[in-house]
Parts: sequence; structure tokens; C-alpha cells
Amino acid sequence: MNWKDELRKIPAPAPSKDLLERILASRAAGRRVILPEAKAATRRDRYMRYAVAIAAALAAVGWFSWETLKPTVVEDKLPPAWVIGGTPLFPSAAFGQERAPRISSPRYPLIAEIQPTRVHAGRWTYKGSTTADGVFTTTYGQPRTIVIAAGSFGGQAAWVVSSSMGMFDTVLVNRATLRPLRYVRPMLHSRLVQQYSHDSINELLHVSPPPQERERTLRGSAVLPDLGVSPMLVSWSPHSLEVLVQALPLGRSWRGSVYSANWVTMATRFPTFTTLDLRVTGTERVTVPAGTFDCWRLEAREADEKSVLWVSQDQGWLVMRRHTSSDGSGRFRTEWVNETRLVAVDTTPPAP
Amino acid sequence: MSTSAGNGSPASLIAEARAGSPDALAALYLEHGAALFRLAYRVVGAREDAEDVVHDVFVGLPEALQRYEERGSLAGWLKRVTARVALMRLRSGKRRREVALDNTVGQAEPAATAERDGLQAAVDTLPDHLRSVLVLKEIEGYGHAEIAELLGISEGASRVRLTRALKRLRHKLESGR
Repeated sequence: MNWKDELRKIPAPAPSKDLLERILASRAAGRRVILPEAKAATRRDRYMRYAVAIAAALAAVGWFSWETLKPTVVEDKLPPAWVIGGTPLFPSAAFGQERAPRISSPRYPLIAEIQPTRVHAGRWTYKGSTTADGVFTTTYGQPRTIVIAAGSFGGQAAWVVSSSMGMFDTVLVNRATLRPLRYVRPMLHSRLVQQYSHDSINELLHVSPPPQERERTLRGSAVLPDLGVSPMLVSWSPHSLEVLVQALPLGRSWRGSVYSANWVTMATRFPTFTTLDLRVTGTERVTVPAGTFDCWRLEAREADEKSVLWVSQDQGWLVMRRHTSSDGSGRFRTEWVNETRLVAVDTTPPAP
Repeated sequence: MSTSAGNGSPASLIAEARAGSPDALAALYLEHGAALFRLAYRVVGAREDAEDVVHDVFVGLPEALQRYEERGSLAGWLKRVTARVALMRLRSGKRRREVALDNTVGQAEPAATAERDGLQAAVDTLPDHLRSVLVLKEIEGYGHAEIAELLGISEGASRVRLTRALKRLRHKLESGR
């Protein structure tokens, strides 16, 4: 018997007669599934990859030769100290020799099922407070408002997500997948732009210096850690949990992980991607200035940091968030509890 | 179910499905659903899981079609998507139940030959990582480069897995005689 031929003749059953009805019912109920990319690897693609790799290697050799031969001083290569206050967020002189922090593995399966139609345009305003050792409480800063508005980008329906924190940073988010498309963050003397494709981030940090400083542009790219199948957040941006939780099909024992993208140009200080692990731990009725809500209580873990979130069961709004930490001195053991509460909601769609 | 989608041309069907038309989605299901189900079934090895895979593929299809560039056949593109979803299901350990291929197939195809039954039983015994390569290469006709990309392994690893799968199959079939 030629069993290789027989393999192809192994019969398979037919799908159930009601499968199509179930599919259409799921669509009608607003259920959405984010499917993975399915681009075929053609021979031409492979040759292109080899050609690009060879070209990149030649360019690297040429660049390295030029960099080692040309007269220069180390200070020229250092990022300007005045960019966001000279914090240690920028690549050092030994950028290429430093080992990048590892990307932590997701604790739970990556979130694959979302209900993107549950996300709505509007404004959600939060106010924070800090309590030290359960005794001293103070409110901090101005209220923060997350604004979600409808828009489009590159022919795709997008959410324009911004915040009122004075940075005027804006993230364009694919409405169907909740993956970022573009992130723009203007700062005092610089401007960060991240452009997302299905498999990578291209980042450009343009520095417009004060007088007598040299204008420069830092570029970085990173391959996305997933197959383009899950939602993705952008760290330190308005596209954060406030948007994502609206689309999660939360329920008892629900759990899932999501990647959050950081700045590529900080790769030696922080991982370009961190994982955020979410888990429903129970239900609770919570009263905040915006009202009383029956909520799912979630545990959120990012590296060693743990937070508790309360998400309203009906609307999917992030109602309250609590993060507990110590001062880290090991001597005073002060415990700080930061709480962010929903103080107002306006579901009138903002003007485009 | 009636399908009144489009003017019948594949391009208009895809455009309407992309826009979320249930009729267009139903038409695409009627055209491709059975073949995709067979592929999913052979990868995941259980009828209910295969139905879940096809269900997810078609529920997510209108959004996924935004990324379909209409180069190459739609059937080939759908098969690659389905293979990926099925492989993700295998990896996630989300399978609802394990059902031997021969039990289910026996219900659908009572006339299956004894040789095929033996072959099926032998395929059933293969671990997932070997069976998926065997199915994709020998039954679905994918090349090692494509299998490597689908499974996230190297082409060499794909060849090694196929060799191991065939060796185990051969051993199983010979010892069963």
C-alpha cells in the first residue's frame, strides 16, 4: 500500500448543519474574533529577506567603518540631557553593548476575544488620591480625562484616544482590534512618533533643542512580540486599560494577558514590551463620585507591580483602580495606596 | 439559507463580506466552509474543536478581510488563516475534548477501508507537534517554508518533525500487520 497516497484519502466528517447559523448569530450578537495574519511565505519573499539581510549587513559594516574612522568625541553621541529633564530614559554611549531587558512572558493566554463594539466615544474623568500608612490622605494633581473620539486612519475606522494631562499625546487605535496604529507625543523640546504595522513599530524621536544645541533625530524599530492577534496597549499613553476593559468579555474566572509597548529608544533601560496580566477575582459594588456601580474586581500585574481594578459590569467602564506600594527603604516601611476614582462620565461623542 | 450577496463575482463578495454583510459571509461559508472544516479537523483531531475553529474564522473574517490583499486565491488565504487558528488552539490547550479521529470519521464515512482505519489510528497516536506537520505537508500540501512560518519553527525543524512523524507512522503500520 502506498500509505502516503492513502493519507490524503482519509475521510473527514462534515461540519454540523447549524454551524453557519451559530456563526451569523455570534456576529449579530456583536462577538468579534481577531484572526492571525496569513501572508504566504513565497520564494520571492525569502529571497527578499536574504537580500535585505545582506544589504543591512553591508550597511552595518560600512557604518561601523565610518564611525570608527571619523574623528568624534563621545559627547556627540550622547542624547541631550535636557530631553524630559535629563532622566535616565535615553540610550547611553554604550547603547549597542548593553543587553536589553528581557520581555517577560505572559502569565495567561494572550487576549484573543474582545467585543470591540462595546467601546464607545466619550469622556471619562478620573481623580486620584494617595494614602500613607492608612492615615494621611491627599489628592494629587489635576483630574485626568480620557477622551475617545471616532476617526479614521489609512482607510481604517479608528479611535482617537487622548488625555487632558497637558502632554496632548494621542493614540490612533484600530477599532476592530484595539491595536495601536500611530502614537504621537509632543514634549517641550522633542516629539515622539510611533508608527505601528501588523508586525513592528517604527519610532522616531525628533529633538528640537534650545539655542546652541544640535537638532537631531533618534530612530528605532522593534518587532512586535505577538502575531498581530491580540489587542495591544501603549505604555504611558492614553491608550491604556481605560479603553481596553470596555471590550473585554469579563466573567467569573476570566483571565488574559496583553502586551504594552514602551519607547523603543529606551530599550536599554526598559523592555520595549511589557506584559500586563489580568484576572477576575470577584464582584463588588463600588461607590465613586460618578455613581454606584456593580463591578468585576480584577487583579492587574505588570512585572512586580500589582493593582486592583474595578470595572463596571454593565458598561465596562474602569470605575476605580488601587495600587499599593512601599517606599522601598526597608527602614520606614511606609505603605502608599494610590487610588484613582471615576468622577464624571460624558458619553456624548466628542467632535471629530 | 438564502444568499443574496453581491453580483456573484468573488471581488464583490469579498467587498461585501468586508463590509460585514451576513449574506456575503454565508456565501463564503457555503463555498469554503467544508474544506476549512476538514483542514481544522485534521489539525486539531476533534470535531467540536474543528467547529470552534471554523466558527472563530468566520466570526472574525469581515475584519480579517481588511488585511487580505487579493493577491493569490482566497481559498489559499482562508486555509492559511484556518491553519493558524487551529494551531493556536492546539498550543493554547483550549481544546474541548479529545475524540479519536476514527470514531468520528466512522460515523461520517462508514465505508472507510480497513487500511485507512489503520492509518487513521496510527495518525491519531502521533503527538500534536508531529501530527500538525504531517497533516500540513502530506495532506494539505504546504511546503516546509510555509509550515515553518505557520508553526513558528525553522524549516529544518519542520523537516525533522516530518521525518519523525513518518518514521513513527511506518513503525506503527508495520507492527500492526
